[in-house]
Amino acid sequence: MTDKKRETLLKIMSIIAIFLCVYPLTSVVRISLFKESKELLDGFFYLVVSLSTFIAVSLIMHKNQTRKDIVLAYGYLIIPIIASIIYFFSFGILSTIFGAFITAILCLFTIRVYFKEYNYLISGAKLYVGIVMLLLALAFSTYFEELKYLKNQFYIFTFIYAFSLLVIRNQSNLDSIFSKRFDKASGIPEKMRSYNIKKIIVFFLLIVGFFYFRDVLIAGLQGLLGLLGFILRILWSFFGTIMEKLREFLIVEETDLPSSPDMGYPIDGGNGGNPIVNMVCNIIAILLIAFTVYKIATVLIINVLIPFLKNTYKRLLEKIINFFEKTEHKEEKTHYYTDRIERVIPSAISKKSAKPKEIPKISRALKQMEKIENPKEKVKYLYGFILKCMSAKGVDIKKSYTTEEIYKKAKEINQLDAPLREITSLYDRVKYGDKMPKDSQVDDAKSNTIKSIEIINKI
Amino acid sequence: MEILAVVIIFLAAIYIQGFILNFFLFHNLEYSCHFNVDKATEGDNIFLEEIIYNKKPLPISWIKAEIYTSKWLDFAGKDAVLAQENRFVTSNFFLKGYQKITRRWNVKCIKRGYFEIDKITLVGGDFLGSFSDSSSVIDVRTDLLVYPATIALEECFRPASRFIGDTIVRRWINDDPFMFSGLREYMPGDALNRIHWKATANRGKLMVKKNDFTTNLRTAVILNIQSQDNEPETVINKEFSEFGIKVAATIFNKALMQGLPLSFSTNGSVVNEDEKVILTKESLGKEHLNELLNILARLRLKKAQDFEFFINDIYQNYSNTEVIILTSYLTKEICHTIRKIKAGKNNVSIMLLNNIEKENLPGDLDVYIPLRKENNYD
Repeated sequence: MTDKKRETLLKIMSIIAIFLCVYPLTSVVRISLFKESKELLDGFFYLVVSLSTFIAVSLIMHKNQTRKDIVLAYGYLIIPIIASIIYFFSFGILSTIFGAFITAILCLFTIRVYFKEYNYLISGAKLYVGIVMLLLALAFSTYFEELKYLKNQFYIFTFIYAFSLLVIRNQSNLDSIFSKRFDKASGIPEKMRSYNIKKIIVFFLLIVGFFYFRDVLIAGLQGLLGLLGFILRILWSFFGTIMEKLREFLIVEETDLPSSPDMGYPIDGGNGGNPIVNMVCNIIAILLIAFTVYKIATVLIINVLIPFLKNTYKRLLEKIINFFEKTEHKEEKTHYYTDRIERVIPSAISKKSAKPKEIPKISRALKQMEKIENPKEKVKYLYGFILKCMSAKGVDIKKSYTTEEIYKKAKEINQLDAPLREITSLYDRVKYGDKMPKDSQVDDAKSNTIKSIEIINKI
Repeated sequence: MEILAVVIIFLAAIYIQGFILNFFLFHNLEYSCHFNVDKATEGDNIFLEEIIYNKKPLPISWIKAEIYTSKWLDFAGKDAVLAQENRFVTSNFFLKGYQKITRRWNVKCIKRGYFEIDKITLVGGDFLGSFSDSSSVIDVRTDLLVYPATIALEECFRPASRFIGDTIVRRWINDDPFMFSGLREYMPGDALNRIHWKATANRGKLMVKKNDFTTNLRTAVILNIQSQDNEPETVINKEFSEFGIKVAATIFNKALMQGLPLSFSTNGSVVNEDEKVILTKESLGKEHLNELLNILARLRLKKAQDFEFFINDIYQNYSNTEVIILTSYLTKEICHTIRKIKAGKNNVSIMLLNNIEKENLPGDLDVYIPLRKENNYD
């Protein structure tokens, strides 16, 4: 999609967004003033007038204006007139004046947005005013009986407005980061915008899902809190029982002591009235509880529960990713660079080949190579053959490795550095530089391959 | 309550997505950047390879690497920002979970030099621009040495003594005797004993032996990095000095092909070393050539010593040597020192890098002047 088309679409989206936040409140006012209940017809009128004004302005302001543009512009200006007539016959004069006033405001914004950025209507104060208007409309539709039938409609408007807000915010964010900086960044990668919009859709759906399942969530959280409370109660009663037993045991021991004339303090018959014993018991109980809580917090939660949850989450996520996604390898070329994009999913990272591979024969490979006519393909074949042999000898070469990474690995093999360096360099030039190798270069590649294989076979 | 829930859920979601994406932005993220070669020659096309690997399930909505390098490494075209001697390029990515992107920039080495990219900063953020963060400086440390290009000496110089018409030049610089020696047509002034009679009979016209002139087996190149006399430390007319470097590289290559021992001296200094003049030992072979080209690639356009004093200091180092002096200007003192070199059984050729008026040229020295100024200095 061209930048111009994208910007126009985003402008239309922001016009719809401003309509969505203006319409509900004006609709509430109109219904309270004129006691009308023709749902959505006035909204349709506002929207049609705003959009046709925008298109007419775009055509009038067209740089290379043709007669066709002028005719079309006037054609689009007729639409508001027709819409007004329909509105007049449907609602009467007072409602039409009210509607015209609201439409005039919307049209003013529409004309402004043509000359401004697409995010003009939902940035700064206008954004907050829009949100407040929507919330007010929602509040009226929730608390006033005669407006309750509008509630669902207003919620839908709110969600669409929120979605437009997220998309426009996301796109303007990308623009401000990559295109409109004073030092001009190197363009936005081709698919970055669509990728971001996809993620915004997912994000939005999650929010909506969260909103509608909040009752389930609240119930879940209440259940969890109840469970925690129950565990704490059990713990408390368990310690209470232990303390009681301990206190009784201490008092019994004290009563068993032989009474002497010097120890003249009264014994209350084991009813726990001794304040010193009580205090000691309480201190022990508090210390025990503090220690248990500390242990639960450190040992159980930090050392056991959190790692367990983390690993479970990771495993679950990996399983989900492996289920939905596959390891991918693709190349994207622009004028200035080539991107090699790989998806190295967790299963591919951990997977290790169990069977040892057979080492391919060089003579067969060379014969195979001779059959290839394209010199480029010859070089690629030879390079691939070396990698196959290295892999067969147990050198860990993943699909995601770059030529440089492979070269670094190969450097560890004695003497392989020089021949592989040359063939790697040629392969890079052929594959990414789109260079057609000369016959002499193919011959060099061949001799380097033979040398490399000889060295690899010695491992 | 429902309305409040809508507001809270939206605000919380926006905040949480920003917080999580930002908090884990650089977590399990690998980035590296390097040139695919460590040495290249002016005019070569190479690659700058960036590898970014997101080793976590969380996606990255946008991330950019800010690359600062020399403007003489041409890549990213219109998307690069040039400021003085620097090129600023931002490399932008978006990554899914567990995604690895290897980006190969097509780089053209447009000038000789030593270029490095040592530090790169990554900047990234969330989907809505509520949060953004930059990584700590990443030490990438990749460098590239670009050797100067060679030129066709025959097309760039002529002897100062010849101003009109085409005559065969006796000196090896134009004749290229290292490469080829054979027959040529007779020209007025050629001695009769040089006529090759068999070839004359064969071709039906007078042919003479194209004799190699006698040259010393040892060659020394002296490069004056200054572009004019009484110049401040930094070179003013950089194109003259750059041209001199190219000429020196060409001579080195020719000497290597012929297996001649070669030494190099200049009043300039090299980057990443002390600011002192360069005096290399006389040697031969590919390794020595690489060493000399390495010096040329890293030469600063800045004098370490005034050429007058420099040549005066080193003139005694040469005997029975083919001395080639590359300079943009000549002064009486320089000419005087050159005469002293010549007197020491040396064969001296002066290759001027800038056009000097004929009257100012020393008549008793072999001087070569540049032919087409515009093309030579490209």
